[in-house]
Amino acid sequence: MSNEYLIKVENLKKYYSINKGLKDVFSKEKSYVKAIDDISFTINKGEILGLAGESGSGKTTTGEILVQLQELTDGSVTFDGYDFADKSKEANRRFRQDVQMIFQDPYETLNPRFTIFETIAEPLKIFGMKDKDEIYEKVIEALEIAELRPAEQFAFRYPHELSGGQRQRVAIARGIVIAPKFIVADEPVSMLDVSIRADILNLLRNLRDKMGLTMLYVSHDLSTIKYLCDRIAVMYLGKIVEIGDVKEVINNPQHPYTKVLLSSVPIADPDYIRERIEIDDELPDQINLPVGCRFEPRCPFATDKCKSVDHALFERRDKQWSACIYTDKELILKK
Amino acid sequence: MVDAMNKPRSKTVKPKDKSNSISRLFLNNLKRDKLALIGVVILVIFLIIGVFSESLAPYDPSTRHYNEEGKIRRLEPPSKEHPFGTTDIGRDIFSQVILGTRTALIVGLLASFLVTFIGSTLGIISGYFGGKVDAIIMRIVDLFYAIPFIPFVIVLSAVLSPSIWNVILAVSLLSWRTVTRLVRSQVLSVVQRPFIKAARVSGAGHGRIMLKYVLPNVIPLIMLEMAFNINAAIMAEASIAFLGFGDPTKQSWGQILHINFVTGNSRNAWWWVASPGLAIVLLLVSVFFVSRALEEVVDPRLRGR
Amino acid sequence: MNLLEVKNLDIDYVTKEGNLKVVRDVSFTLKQGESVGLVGESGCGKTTLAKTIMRLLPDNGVISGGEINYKGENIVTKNKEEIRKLRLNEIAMISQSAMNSLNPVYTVGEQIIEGIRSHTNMSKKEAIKRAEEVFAIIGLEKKRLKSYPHQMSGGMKQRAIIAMALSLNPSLIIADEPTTALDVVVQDKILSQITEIQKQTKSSMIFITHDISIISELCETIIVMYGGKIMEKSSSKVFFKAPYHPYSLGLQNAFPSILDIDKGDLISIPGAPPNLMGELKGCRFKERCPFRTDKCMEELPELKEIGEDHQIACHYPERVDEFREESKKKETWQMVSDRIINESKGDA
Repeated sequence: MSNEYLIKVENLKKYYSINKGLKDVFSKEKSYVKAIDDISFTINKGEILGLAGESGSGKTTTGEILVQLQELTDGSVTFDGYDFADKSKEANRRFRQDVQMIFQDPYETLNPRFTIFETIAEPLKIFGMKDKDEIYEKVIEALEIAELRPAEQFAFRYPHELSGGQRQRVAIARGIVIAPKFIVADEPVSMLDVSIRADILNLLRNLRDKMGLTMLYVSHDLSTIKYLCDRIAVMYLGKIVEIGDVKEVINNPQHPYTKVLLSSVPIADPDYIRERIEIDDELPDQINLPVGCRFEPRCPFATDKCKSVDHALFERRDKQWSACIYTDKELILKK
Repeated sequence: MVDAMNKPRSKTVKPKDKSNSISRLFLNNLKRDKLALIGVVILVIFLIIGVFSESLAPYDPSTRHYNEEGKIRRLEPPSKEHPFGTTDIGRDIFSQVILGTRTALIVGLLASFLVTFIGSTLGIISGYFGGKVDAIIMRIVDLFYAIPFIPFVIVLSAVLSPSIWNVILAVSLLSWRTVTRLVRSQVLSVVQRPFIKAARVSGAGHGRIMLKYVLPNVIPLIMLEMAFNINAAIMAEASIAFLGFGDPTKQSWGQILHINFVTGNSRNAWWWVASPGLAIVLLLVSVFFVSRALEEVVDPRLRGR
Repeated sequence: MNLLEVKNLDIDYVTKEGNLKVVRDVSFTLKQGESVGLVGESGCGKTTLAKTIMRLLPDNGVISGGEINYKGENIVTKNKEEIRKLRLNEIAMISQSAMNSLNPVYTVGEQIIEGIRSHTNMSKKEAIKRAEEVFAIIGLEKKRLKSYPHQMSGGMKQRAIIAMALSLNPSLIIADEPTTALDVVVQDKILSQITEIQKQTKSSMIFITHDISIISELCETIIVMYGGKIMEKSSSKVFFKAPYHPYSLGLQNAFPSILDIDKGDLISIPGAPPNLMGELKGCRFKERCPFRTDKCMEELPELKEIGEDHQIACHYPERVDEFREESKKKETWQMVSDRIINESKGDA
């Protein structure tokens, strides 16, 4: 794997204004929900980065900003040398061709009134492909790659005739038909039955291995992230609290929040005794966020010092960064 | 548990099999719903009469008829020669009703088409873009809601010349507001669905998304609104003509009633009132039955199990 | 005595196209204080089974055979009033979307107190006291009784629902994916609270989920369902070490684990669950089973005892070592995938 990055995110912020009523026009103070508050990371070419976090962490918003479904509030994103601030037609067209997304709900991600063929042919038609035979060939090829066989049979069905797993494969075929460089996959298996999840994960991995795709895999499920991704970034209330190699982070978590998350995952082994870290499970108010470390109110290790920190990332182990001001050793001592 | 029914059904699916298409469901519905079937039959008869009214009408509607003694056939009740009777100046009511059919249908179909066209275009734009565009369009809709229907039409036909085209214009100008609101609210929910996001990621522009993704998913509602608006338009035309603001050169059911009323014969010539009145009721009822059946198709909750 | 005894239960859904055989010949028993986990894919009949025990089947659902004996009485033949008394007092259900079933115009407290009072002759004061007690057990503050649903987070609402379900000390708790919509941290805490309560009150529990790791932590017994039938029933301890049925073996391959045991690539079970409409022949798992024989195509395997408290529905329990070996290989399942493609080509 080369260390060249495909995507570089710097100081990204996304605020939603909650002053919408008429009376608020006159009030000077504006309130915001800080969905993403100053995060930076890079994704290397051919790498799968897992973005983990609970609901409200900002992980889905980050994914949607990277495919330009949402505008960023502040900061910069560069994709393959192009700046997101470049709004020219040429940049937009190139971007749309290079970036695709796979969504969570396989039942809602396909237009119910399109056949599978029409759905997958859409991106090709949008980018000006006219020759019918060529379109047909490309669509069949994409279906084959997505392992929907026999492809010729699937092409003329409607979404409601397919199972959830098959629909998700169609969504993937649509994503890869114009040969993008980067795919954001937002919880692509969370609504599928367990017996078929592995297939979709293996398919995503194959896309990376064979087509050299770069991916952002957004999920709350740490075990699928561990299975699929090379690196992981853990988000909490709009901040990245830990980022690093996936095996390292999961086996040696440095940030207390990552530790809590990991300790909450049930284990399919009756003899395994899991060490639970007890914390308050309610998130703080997202508008009046805690000053200092955002995890401080719930953190079992918190001290007064934590009330005035700014979430700077420290390299605690090799290429593993944590936003906690304490090292792992210091945390263990506290216990 | 119901999931099992959503699983792939048969493996032998013909290409281009739209098993959930509106027309197919509607036809299935006709087999069960006898009222809808009656509605369709009556509507088809009216359509045939409307298209061939000139050749179907036995007389010119303004010809005065005389009996063997050379006297005007004044206010004669229905007979063999004049199945719907005659007017106070010996005109054949049957021919008038036949020719009035065309007017009713033209106004009904054209106005409802215009209404749904304007209404759904604005509704889709409003719901799709949201924000300022939505706010502006919805305020205009509110404005139009403030205009009372009949007075507006009276003023409009007084300012412009009385003709059925102005009636159509008047109906269209006022009725789109309801369609816009309904279509907008459905578009708002369609736009939230992930396949719209997926289309945007695929690079589809606003126009393409509205036409190929949003419109097909609101078409059932639009068709239903169109059916309902046919009735509204027919009724509006009849009312306007009855009040005397109609097109004097065009036969229309409202006009027949208007002349009956102004000549003071509404109490002594039942056939003169009953025949256009019945025609109006029959047409409205048949359209109503058809649109009711259509509503069942559009709204799965109403579909019989 | 067994608290619950399900005997040869058959359930159908009547549809326009014919009868959907959602549950067929399901039998199991539940002792006082025992908790059993029910796993399976969507459409396997697990939720239907739970609803039937509560007699909450939709209008087109029919119990077409068998018995459900609760404390020795057959629930199937009871009338509406008797069932109403049974619910909440005796059997309580917590479902996945339950938190959306709170009425938005009443406070949570009002709804719980109403529930308690309509099933008992407690005074209002006693009911309030009881509500406060269950709130404390489930980890909600007393003042939350005065909150409206919209003022609470998803986790709190689900807790309130659980409090409501447990307020009358039911002997049997049926939990249908009670935490699926929640975040892991919240899920973990609620699950530990549920088991805590269940152990304290010595009530029995049927826990339905698609996540077998939850069952491994929560339940003594596991029942694996597929296509409306029980495939394997075993104590959790035995099951997670050494599953028998080919379907269970397949499920084991498909699960990613957070632990650092590198069990190699995950393997899915190719294909989709069977269509339960029309005539069903042979084993339900035959389309997706890598080890099927002609016998499996024709003959439905009975649920057989193969060890202490361990039953499987497979014709070949003696070949288990071979199955375990083969099922770990990718090629085994690839063969099934190819077979399914070939069969669908044949049909077209």
